[in-house]
Amino acid sequence: MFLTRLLSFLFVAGLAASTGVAKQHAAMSVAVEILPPSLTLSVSSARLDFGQIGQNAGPVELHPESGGRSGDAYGTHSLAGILLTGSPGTQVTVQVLPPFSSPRSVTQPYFRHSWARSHECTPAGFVRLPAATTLTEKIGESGCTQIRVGGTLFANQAPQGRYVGEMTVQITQL
Amino acid sequence: MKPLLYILLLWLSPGILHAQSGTIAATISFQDPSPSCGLYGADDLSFGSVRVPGSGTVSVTVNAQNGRVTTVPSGHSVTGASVGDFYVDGDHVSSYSIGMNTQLMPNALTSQSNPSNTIPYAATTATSLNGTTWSSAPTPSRGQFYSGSAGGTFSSFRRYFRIGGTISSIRLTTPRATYSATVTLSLSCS
Repeated sequence: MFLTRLLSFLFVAGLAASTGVAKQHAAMSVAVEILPPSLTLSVSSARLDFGQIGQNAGPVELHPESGGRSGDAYGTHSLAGILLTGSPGTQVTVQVLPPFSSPRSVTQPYFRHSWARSHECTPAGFVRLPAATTLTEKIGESGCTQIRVGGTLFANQAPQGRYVGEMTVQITQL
Repeated sequence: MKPLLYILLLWLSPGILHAQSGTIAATISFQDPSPSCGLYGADDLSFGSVRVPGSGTVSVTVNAQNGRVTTVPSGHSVTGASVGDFYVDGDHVSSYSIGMNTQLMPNALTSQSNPSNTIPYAATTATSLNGTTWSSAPTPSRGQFYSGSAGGTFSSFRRYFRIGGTISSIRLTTPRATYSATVTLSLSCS
């Protein structure tokens, strides 16, 4: 009898411990690094060149909005220009310190600078700005602001010759 | 000793004979195979390096579906941004769900150097069956954000997910720092 009971058994297949639900967790990070606004200054030309000016010439002007020249002068000319690139909206002050040299220092000509600004990244779209020695500007939405510097040379009493100056530009990020 | 052995054999014999002619009760029961599922390949979501604007505010979006990075205003400098992704798979599954709890889906990134400084963050997700063609998934919120069926009871499945989103209100006064948050995903299947 007991052998009969011995041969009776229960066979179970499968995992008795199964709950029917599996779970797992994982983590992922989200990150950003915040940096200060960028500002890069490049000077396309620091040379302000009125070309050859004759004796007793009237005022000669280099027009910053167009890049052209008017007055009694000849030969090549050039205007000074700077390009500011960086985070749009970055504010800077621009101060132009225009030392000027004449061929001879007998009589110093009188120089009055003028400037124009463009928010394009290419040399286009310049708008003349009010006369001032210091300018407060914002980097445009394009990420660029260009400033072109010209001016008027009153050389009535100055000797003839080529009048060339080197612009000194001081940029301060606000 | 031999008589005792004979007596013992006689005592056992009826049991043996009975067993040979009796019925054996055998019960076999099968249980369902256990479902198993996993969450793999979690790549972090990075908004990269963002320069604060000189004025106004900037928001940066990493598109969950295509991984593209855009800014408002457009053209703002962002480098190194990348979408986050992971996939889930499983066997012997009839349904599954992916959950996020209160801390699991943050609504802001926090400065590591000063926890009181935060940047608002709104998550978006995309999902795919093959890792190639993506469609937008429900906007994650607290609790369960995605549930799916595996195609039948005891099926195998795999599904891919991407996490993107938008960080906003970055301005000149936003402290320079690394901001981060943790998205914890929980997967359950049955």
